[in-house]
Amino acid sequence: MNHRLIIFLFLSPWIIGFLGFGIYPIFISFYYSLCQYDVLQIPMYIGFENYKNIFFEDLLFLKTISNTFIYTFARVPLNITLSLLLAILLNRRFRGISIIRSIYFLPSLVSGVALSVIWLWIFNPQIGLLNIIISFFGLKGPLWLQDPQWSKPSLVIMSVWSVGGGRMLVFLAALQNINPRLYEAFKLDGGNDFQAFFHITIPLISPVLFLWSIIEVIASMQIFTEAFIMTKGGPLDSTLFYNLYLYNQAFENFNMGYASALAWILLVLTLIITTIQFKISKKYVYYEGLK
Amino acid sequence: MKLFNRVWLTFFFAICIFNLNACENIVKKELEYWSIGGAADSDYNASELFNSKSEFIVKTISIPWTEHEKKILTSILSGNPPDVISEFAPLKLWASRSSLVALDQYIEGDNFDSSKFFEALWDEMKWEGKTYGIPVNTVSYAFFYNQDIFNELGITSLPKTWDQVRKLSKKIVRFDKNGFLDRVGYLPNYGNFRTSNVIAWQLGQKFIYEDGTVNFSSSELEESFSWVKGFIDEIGLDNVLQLMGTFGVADQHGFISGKVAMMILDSSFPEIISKYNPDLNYKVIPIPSFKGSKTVSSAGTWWVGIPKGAKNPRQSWEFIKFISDKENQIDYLNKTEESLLSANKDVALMRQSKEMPFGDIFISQLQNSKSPSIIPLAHDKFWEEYDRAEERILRNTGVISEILSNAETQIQLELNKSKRYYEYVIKNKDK
Repeated sequence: MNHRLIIFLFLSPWIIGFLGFGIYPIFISFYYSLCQYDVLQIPMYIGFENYKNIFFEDLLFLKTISNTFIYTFARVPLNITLSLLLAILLNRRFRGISIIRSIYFLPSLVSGVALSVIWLWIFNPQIGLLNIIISFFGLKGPLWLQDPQWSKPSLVIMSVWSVGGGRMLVFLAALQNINPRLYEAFKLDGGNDFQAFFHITIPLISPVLFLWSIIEVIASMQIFTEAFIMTKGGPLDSTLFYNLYLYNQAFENFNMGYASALAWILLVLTLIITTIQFKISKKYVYYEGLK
Repeated sequence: MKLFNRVWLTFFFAICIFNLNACENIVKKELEYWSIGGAADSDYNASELFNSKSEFIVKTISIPWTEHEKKILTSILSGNPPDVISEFAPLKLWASRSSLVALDQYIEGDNFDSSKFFEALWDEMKWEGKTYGIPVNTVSYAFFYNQDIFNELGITSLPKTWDQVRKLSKKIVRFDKNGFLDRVGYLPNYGNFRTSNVIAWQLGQKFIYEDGTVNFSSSELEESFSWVKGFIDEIGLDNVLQLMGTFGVADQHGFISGKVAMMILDSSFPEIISKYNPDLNYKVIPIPSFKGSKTVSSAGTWWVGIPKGAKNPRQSWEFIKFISDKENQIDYLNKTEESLLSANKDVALMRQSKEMPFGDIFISQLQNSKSPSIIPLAHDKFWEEYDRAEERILRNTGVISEILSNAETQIQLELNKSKRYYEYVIKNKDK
């Protein structure tokens, strides 16, 4: 049999999967975004009406955008900073360090759904762990998830749970990859640890920081599980994030055309933000191999 | 492979397939019935009873209610739906999505007697003049109160009006030593029964006019929401939210745990209470109303129907007739021991006198019930905006009339879009 045909046959499961479950849905979703379509019946072509409605009539669209951006801008720096600090703390060599690292890593293994249920109890205003601890200091804790002012910060606090996960491990690996002689030379020149952190550590791990900033921004913009299980978008739509709204439109209201338009807008927004990140990265990311 | 071998193998497989088809014709034809799964129907299997008398076999597949709707819709979309389904979501919503087969030809052909069902429930089965399902069971709502709490506070007169509920509730409210609210009389924003909706109905609210105009910014609805807001404000929204945060299901339910003294609950609750708090001393009375207005309740129904694309509609209809049959209804309700009301009037009235606690009250409430499917073509949007408006009002984010007016605009926009789409589908579905 023809050699090329054999190669093609071995690749065909992936090619079929990619075309059928990757490329086709992407293109058809764009067509549906130009239609009114409830999945069960034929699509009705309406041009750019869905997009017009989203931008000019939908009162929730801007709310979901602002919710998602606020959450993203609070969560990303906080999580990256804490993961880096934890990685620095765990970047030591002493007996038992592997066990300590494993202990910090363990919480990140809990699935999103289980985590959400656990935190629902932690945030309970009357019988939750957080408010019980706060009450030891004679204070009354907030309503957390039931208060529109506190609901987003609550979800940001919750995201800290996985601070010791994969992100911390990658930071740890990056830190261990820095040549110790650089620190020795820096100290001989009169520099202190604090200065070494900003002048050696940060520049040398900047590619990893950049990578994680992109991954974290994309993940934060797609936040869904926590809001779906814990708040359903409330109170007062304060946790109605973009993906949750998209899900509601697609699978609760069966407005598949509208949901497709929302999905394309999310794609464009994510592309814009990632492009901005790439542009900014040229100023702070140091690639040693390119020098 | 040699040509002779290929021909021989093709011939062999063709014979096998032909034989399999022939065998299928010999055995009884098999139909699939997707029922809503639950612990209560485990002792009862409609298809087993039916199969013993029928020329074809029905296989019941029990699907958890959380996944039921999506699984059925997916199966319809894939062109391979079950033959019969049971559902609880409003039928009009399903019919408006063209997901069901109209049953009129079978109803007329068999002279099927629809007068045996409660009128409100039979009306629920209709969409655009056609009948798409048969009602099977229902739950009815009534007003439950905790007799022990009433005795403790010396309350002897039972509430008949909403103002009396408010007065009693003030007496019952209690805070614990830490200052947390630990007992209330009534909570109009707790449970799956929307008090504001029923009050609005009692005041004469009409959510949609005949010409298709949505009426959400009415004085009736404004008055109803104002009453609910006034009620909550007296206790304090933060206190209420903290207390509601301690509620859960089963023995953590607000009424079952004794933290809420009065509540509108459905007819399945006597069964649930006996399971999780058998010592709870409670009574059931009709839902209060305003002075001079009628008591009104809300009721949906479990129904059975034939999904679009089902392969054997005639046989499916035979099974549907069996399910809705009086004898089978009695058998079902006896075996499952559920506090469900039969959609069949005779069965419901028979059980009222025998087995069902407070059955007479539940049935009288059922006769005054309205459909929760208020605007079928914008059903989800209606309730989404309804809940959003109520939350905004309770949290004091604006003037009530403005909040209602905004909600009205959003519902009307959705309804207009849905109408246009529905008309397009009807016009083009055969193309």
